[in-house]
Amino acid sequence: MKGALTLLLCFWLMVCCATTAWAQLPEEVEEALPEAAEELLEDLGETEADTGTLQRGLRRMGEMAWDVLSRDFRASLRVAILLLSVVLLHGMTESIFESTGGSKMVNVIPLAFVLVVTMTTAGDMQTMIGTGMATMEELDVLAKALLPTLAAAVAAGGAIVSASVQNVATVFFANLLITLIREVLLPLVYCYIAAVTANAILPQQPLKGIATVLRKGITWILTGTLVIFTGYLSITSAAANSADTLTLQLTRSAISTAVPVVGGIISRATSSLLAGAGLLKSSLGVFGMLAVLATCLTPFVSMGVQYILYKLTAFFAGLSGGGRVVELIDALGNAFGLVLGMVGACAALLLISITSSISVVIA
Amino acid sequence: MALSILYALLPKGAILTAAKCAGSLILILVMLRPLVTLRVEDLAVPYDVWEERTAEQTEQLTQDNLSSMEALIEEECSAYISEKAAQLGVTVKAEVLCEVRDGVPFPAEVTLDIPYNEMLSDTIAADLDIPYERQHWQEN
Repeated sequence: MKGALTLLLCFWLMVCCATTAWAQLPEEVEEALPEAAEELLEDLGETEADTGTLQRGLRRMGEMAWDVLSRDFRASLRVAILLLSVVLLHGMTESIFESTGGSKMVNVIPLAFVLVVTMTTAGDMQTMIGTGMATMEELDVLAKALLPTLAAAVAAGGAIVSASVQNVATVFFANLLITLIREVLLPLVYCYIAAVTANAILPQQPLKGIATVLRKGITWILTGTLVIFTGYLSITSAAANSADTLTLQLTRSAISTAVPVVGGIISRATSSLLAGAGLLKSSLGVFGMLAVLATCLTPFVSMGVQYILYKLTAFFAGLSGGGRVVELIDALGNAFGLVLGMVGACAALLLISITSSISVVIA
Repeated sequence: MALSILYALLPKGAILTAAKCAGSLILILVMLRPLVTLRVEDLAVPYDVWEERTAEQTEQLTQDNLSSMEALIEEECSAYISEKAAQLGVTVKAEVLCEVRDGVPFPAEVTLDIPYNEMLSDTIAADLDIPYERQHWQEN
């Protein structure tokens, strides 16, 4: 929820910062786009003054999101109905077992139904984690092409120190986050899935606490990384901005010592450079935001649909009596949420950096 | 999963208690395995490296900016000289070179493809602040 709010805030700031003009985008940035994003952003990178570039891009994304939503909803609904049927069958089986002298025998019914639920959802889990990891790698490739170009455009506008600090910080944090996700958090998601599955089988549910700790730990690590990155960027941007302002004042002093003709020439050259840099910065900022959103669109919608449907399934299944199988379905929905959060964290980090870059203004 | 099956099959008593203790330890080890196998150096972000890269990037961006400014200023100055020469009835192609003073490129030297012209030379010295000794004229 917090991740979604952060993304919305970045989007709002981006809309405010977007200008009406558009500049030719560097080739290396266009080549770094993933295939799905390239298809979505086709023709948006051409040289033309267009007030509706951002709106057109968002409209296309809205249409694509609807298509993905319709397709994935149908597929996920089948799984949801199957899980609901399993829960109802489990309830009936438990009742029959108890009514036929169940206390005298070993009750393997929960084990059997947990296995059924696990096998039903195993494919979705693997696909989800694979998709999530692939999306994060694509974002990493896009960042490596986009960020240096954006830094150069910001620097050409006079904010050299700000551009360097932001670029280096984003690259470091992006590498840190992806390594953390790949080496620690994804294995912990597997552990969480194993913990909730084992907890559903064991009668006293001894692993519930461990599963909760794992879920909260993963969430805190992701949130903490974003908070630290945003805090670092805010603090260092203020200092870098002061350094750039001082440099600008020194430059103005140097220019004021020149003869009038030379001063005029230098001023005109500076204005040309600033105008071009401003145009490129805005274009890259809007394009970068659209590219990040386009890259995340399909995985977000797919995982979001599965997360909501699993939660709804657990809710409706709970109305029929609850039980460990229902809690397992709810917990598996949380696992989707965790992977969704990881992809969201990577996207949010990039969006915060892009927004911060194009918002840099030297007084 | 295997532990759960084992607990379900074992009879209640000392054996089950012992199995649960051992099973709990095994589960904790499995869950902590990602942290144990994690290579901390992969996550380490040495501040020195960070600072060095920031300085390198700043230097690179400063140089890029200066190069762009120099190119623009040289072009403008050359065009100015050609315009002034045309007013004097002379056609000239001038190549201006800049020097960086206090972080700003200033025109410092010029090479012209015509013989020495006193009026043009005075104009270049007054308007562009390029000293006479740094004006190179084509010798006949």
